[in-house]
Amino acid sequence: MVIKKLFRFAFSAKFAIYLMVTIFLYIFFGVYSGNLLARPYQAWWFILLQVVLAANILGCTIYRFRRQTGAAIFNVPWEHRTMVKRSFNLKELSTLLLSRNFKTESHGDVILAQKNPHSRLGSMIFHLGLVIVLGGFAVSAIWGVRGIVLAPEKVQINLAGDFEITRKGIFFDRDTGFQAVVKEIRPIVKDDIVEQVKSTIVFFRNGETVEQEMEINRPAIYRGYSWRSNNWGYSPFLVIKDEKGELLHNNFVNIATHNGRSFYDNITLKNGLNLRVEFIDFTAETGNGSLSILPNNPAVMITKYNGGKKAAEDIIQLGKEKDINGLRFAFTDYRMWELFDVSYDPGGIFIYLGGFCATVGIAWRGLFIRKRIWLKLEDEPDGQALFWTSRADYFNDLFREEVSQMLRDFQRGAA
Amino acid sequence: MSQWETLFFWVTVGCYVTATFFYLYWFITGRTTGEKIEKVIIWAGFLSNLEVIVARTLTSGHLPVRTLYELNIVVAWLAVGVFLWARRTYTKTVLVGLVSVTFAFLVAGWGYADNPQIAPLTPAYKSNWLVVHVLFALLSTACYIFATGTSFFYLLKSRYPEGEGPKRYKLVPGLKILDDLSVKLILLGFVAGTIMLISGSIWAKLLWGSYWSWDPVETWSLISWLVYGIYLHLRFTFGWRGRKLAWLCMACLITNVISSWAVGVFTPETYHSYEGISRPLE
Repeated sequence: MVIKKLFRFAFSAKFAIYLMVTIFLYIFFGVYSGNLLARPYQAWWFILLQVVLAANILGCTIYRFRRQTGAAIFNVPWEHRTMVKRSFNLKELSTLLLSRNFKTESHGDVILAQKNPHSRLGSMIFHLGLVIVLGGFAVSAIWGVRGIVLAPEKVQINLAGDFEITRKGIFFDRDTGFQAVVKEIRPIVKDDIVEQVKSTIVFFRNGETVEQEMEINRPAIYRGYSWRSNNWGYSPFLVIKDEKGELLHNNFVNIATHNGRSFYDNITLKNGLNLRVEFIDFTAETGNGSLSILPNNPAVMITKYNGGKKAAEDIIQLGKEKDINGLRFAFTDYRMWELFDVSYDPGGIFIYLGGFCATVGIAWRGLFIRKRIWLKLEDEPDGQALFWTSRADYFNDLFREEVSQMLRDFQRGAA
Repeated sequence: MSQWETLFFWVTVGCYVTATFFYLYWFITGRTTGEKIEKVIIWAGFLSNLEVIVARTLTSGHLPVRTLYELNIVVAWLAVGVFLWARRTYTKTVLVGLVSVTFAFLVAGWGYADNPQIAPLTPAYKSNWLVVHVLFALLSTACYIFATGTSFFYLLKSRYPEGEGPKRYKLVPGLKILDDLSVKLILLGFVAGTIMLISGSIWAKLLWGSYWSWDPVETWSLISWLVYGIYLHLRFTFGWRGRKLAWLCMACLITNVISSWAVGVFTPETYHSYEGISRPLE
């Protein structure tokens, strides 16, 4: 008996309210918890709370579905009695109701006019949609993976080796054995503003080659993995030697910070020296550099720091060398790079499906409410009496007003 | 801002302010004097607001869903649109304009005072989901504003026994109807809010690689959606009605206002701000 009661409570709307309020309070607290909670929304019990809510919604939905099946009801208590003319005709009224999208059926002398009879299915579809969405999140968290891959332009990368995983599901076992090359990165610039960043990416696997175009908001998808552009920038190749000719740096520098037209980053050399490298456009006439998203004459501005203080600054054009404050710099080449968010998201299909169901369900339930009118005409000594009762799943009072007005109009012959 | 846009903007604000004075006067006197003139004014304001949106779209080359000013002129238009629709559909709802139309000219003015300059669409905004997400978010706010208006009048009118009280309350529907109207508009707002959340989540996956990142704006939108969900369950499942539901409706609007406008005030570390969408906080 106790177990039955508990079971009923667990799948009741009352419990759903308690869960929703708890989740709401926790989410609210999580936003402002600051350092009190680390990753508040990844806490195991918050996830458990969502699982319990999903189970509760599912249980409630099944219970409601069972309760809602059944034949039309005709024995309702009559709530209104209106005296009508002898000429009042129920058939004409039925025709009027038909024109207002009510379907009528009769049982004895009672007429039932009904609109949107399956509206309550919308509520079930909405709630099932929410469960499917939560299920999709769970599937992605358990079987999916998410991480980042840095891909310099025209350099082949291997997903298995270069994938820096940030989140991995416990049952993730998807094949990562394929390679990719970013053939070209094309920032589309208009009026000195980046309008879009397009890339051509080529995937290789066992002799298979697939080329895809991608851009921000349109990821590339290969073997279930989505490749989404996260960041992009320039990589100048810098050769740096000290006074003795010892090589301090001989590689590309990925400039990761870009703000408007400014591309810059700080690097630390192996002798501990700090440099700021800025990728700029060189203007031959003035001998100065300017900020540009797509430089015509690429150059780097090197700022050297000693003990946190600026020691020297100079510009080096592409293919040139220069001594700056005791160091020999050469800017020999440059390329672009792109950082990708790569994810395998097996729950995605459920999230889309659930989202669709939730949207359709709530729209169906909210916009097409079930409305019913029962009508009966009885002869009385001083005329005819129309008995009627109206019911709407929601907003009964509004609907009663509507029916009352319709009957008045009908009697006046204005309907 | 183009000249046309500026002109129509001030016509819109002028019409909305004038209409608000009508509602205020009616509320004070309890008589709907000059309703025909008011109708012309409010419709002129509504159409002029539409002109502002069209002019802005033509000048900027995209729908006005980017800056605070753009979002505010659209939500003002939707709030007045919802008010006009409800007024045509349900009798005696004209005084709710005191809330909806006041809200409309206040947000429009605030947007203008903030910065009416056009901001370009950065790559993050280049998505078809942008329009769906933003328009449904604004539509839900417009519905919630109207619902709050009816709840406000419910709270005022319910202080007196049915049929009694000052004359002004004869201009608003009965308590049951006010109660139903409020819930109906919240239900419509909830439908729009659901579409906003789902479309936003899909867009976030395409842009940020994750359906949900618990960014403060996302989190507040979820809080607001949950609160309205609780409201609807309390009404439909537990039969809540009357003053406590009206008070709850007013409280729910606070969460919506925070999620739409004020998240940045409390938690500036959002990548979802009016300054522009940026990459997620990792």
